[in-house]
Amino acid sequence: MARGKFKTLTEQMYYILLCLCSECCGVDVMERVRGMTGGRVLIGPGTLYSLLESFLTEGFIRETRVEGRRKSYIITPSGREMLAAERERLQTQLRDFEINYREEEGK
Amino acid sequence: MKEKKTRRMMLYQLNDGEAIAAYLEKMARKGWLLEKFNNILTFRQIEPGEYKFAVTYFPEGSVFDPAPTEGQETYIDYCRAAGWELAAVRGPIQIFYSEGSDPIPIETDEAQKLAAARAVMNKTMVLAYVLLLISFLLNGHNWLDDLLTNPLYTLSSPLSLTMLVCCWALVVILGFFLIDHWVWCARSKRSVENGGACLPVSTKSRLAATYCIFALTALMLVGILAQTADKSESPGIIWILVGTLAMYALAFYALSLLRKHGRSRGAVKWGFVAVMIALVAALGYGSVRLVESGALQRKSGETYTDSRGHTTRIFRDELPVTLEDLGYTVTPDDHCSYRERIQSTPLAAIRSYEQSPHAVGSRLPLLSYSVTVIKWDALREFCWDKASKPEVVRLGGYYATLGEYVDTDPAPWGAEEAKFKDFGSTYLLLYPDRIVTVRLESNRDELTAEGIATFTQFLMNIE
Repeated sequence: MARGKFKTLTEQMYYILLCLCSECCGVDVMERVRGMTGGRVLIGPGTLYSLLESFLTEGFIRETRVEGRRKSYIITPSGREMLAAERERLQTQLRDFEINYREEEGK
Repeated sequence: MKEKKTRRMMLYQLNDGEAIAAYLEKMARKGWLLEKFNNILTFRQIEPGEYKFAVTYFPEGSVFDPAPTEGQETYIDYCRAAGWELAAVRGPIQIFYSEGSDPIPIETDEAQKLAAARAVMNKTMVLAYVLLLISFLLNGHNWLDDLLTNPLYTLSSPLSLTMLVCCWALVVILGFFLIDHWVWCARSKRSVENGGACLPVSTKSRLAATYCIFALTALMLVGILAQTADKSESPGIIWILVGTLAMYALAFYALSLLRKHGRSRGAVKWGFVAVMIALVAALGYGSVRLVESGALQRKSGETYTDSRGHTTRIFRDELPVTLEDLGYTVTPDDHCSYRERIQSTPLAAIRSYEQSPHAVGSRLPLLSYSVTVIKWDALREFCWDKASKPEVVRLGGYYATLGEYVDTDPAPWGAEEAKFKDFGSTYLLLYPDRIVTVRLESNRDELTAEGIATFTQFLMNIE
């Protein structure tokens, strides 16, 4: 099924936004996401650059500091809404699973 | 000690990143690390080792950038933090290497990877190939038009024939590259939308097409050299070829200088446009001057200026049939030029002859004739069919027909078929292995039976 841009978040988009709930330098996002997920989710540097640029354009994150070429970002209210919507979607999925899986088990 | 370097031709298509990376990894195992990426790849010597390479596409980059843009620098910083070092960059195409055996891939989101590849290819490869395709289509159409209107000359001329073949072959190859790329984009898009990865490309067929382009370029050069190999042709085309190649070399040199000293992408871009305009104007002006000066003409012969001040060249080639053989009295005051032209290809060989009086007021007719030997029956029939069609020329805004051939008795000529048209008093004759044209352009005279007999004797003996 096709995923429209930002209608739902990919795992990598989700963790980048989650990571930027606290201010973080772009280059450190890769390492922080790796730490958050125990190495399960890896973000390539090219993908990170493209997604940060897209999030900036869409207003999901904003620049907080620029030190030379090191730029720091933080999530915006609009980004938080996006993240919350994704959390809601995932929770609904989980709830649906719990209900249907238990019903199937109970049969 | 000077660092050892080696250079290799770039054989891969820009959209075949995986094949480029695999090739660079192979070179690194042999002890050569990529340093510069262009049509020629430059490598520096290193300790042989296992390196991982990745070709990435950066849509914001441009070949006119004097240095990596701010965004590109950030991108490179991110890559460095992930263990990737920049090996070389060419506008929007960047090549990274990693000494680690299993680094995080630079692109981990297939949709982003596909979008970047498509954006970069659209403004580099696709744009260039579409422009080249249009150029070769227009050229191919012109050469095809020449074949249909003047098949005897086109099939006998190495230049015309190779250009005809090469232009259309290049149209097919460029079309293949474009369709192959668009099909790959569409299939990869479907795959990514369904949660899969970008699809692999067929490197073998792309490499085969690239080798075909090299072979066609060599064929064009052979055609140009063969065209000028005969003494009857001028070497002018070689000078125009040399001038064009020099123009391209200067353009590339100018671009590298502009990038080195330019301050912004706009300055480099418009500087390059100005240089290109100057170079094209210089090439055009130089060509016109060369043509006017006569430097591109065949060197033999002498210059003659008639009483009206018109200058031309007079040749003294041996012709098998002359106006003198046909009973005309030719004096030095007629300033007749005797010119023979010989051209041949594996398909056909033409010998054409012309005796033309250049003195103003000369009462001699212009005599021209050609013998084209065509071994293949089907090709000879094709040429006969096309050559006997009325010649159509464009005069201003409308088309005019230059006389129409009518059947005439072939017996006096000893030919299988014969046609004649009033316009220029031209005979078209078909023999078992050749097609002959004879033209005696005169307001007063026509070829007599004796004249025809004289021609027949010579025409069949020409090898």
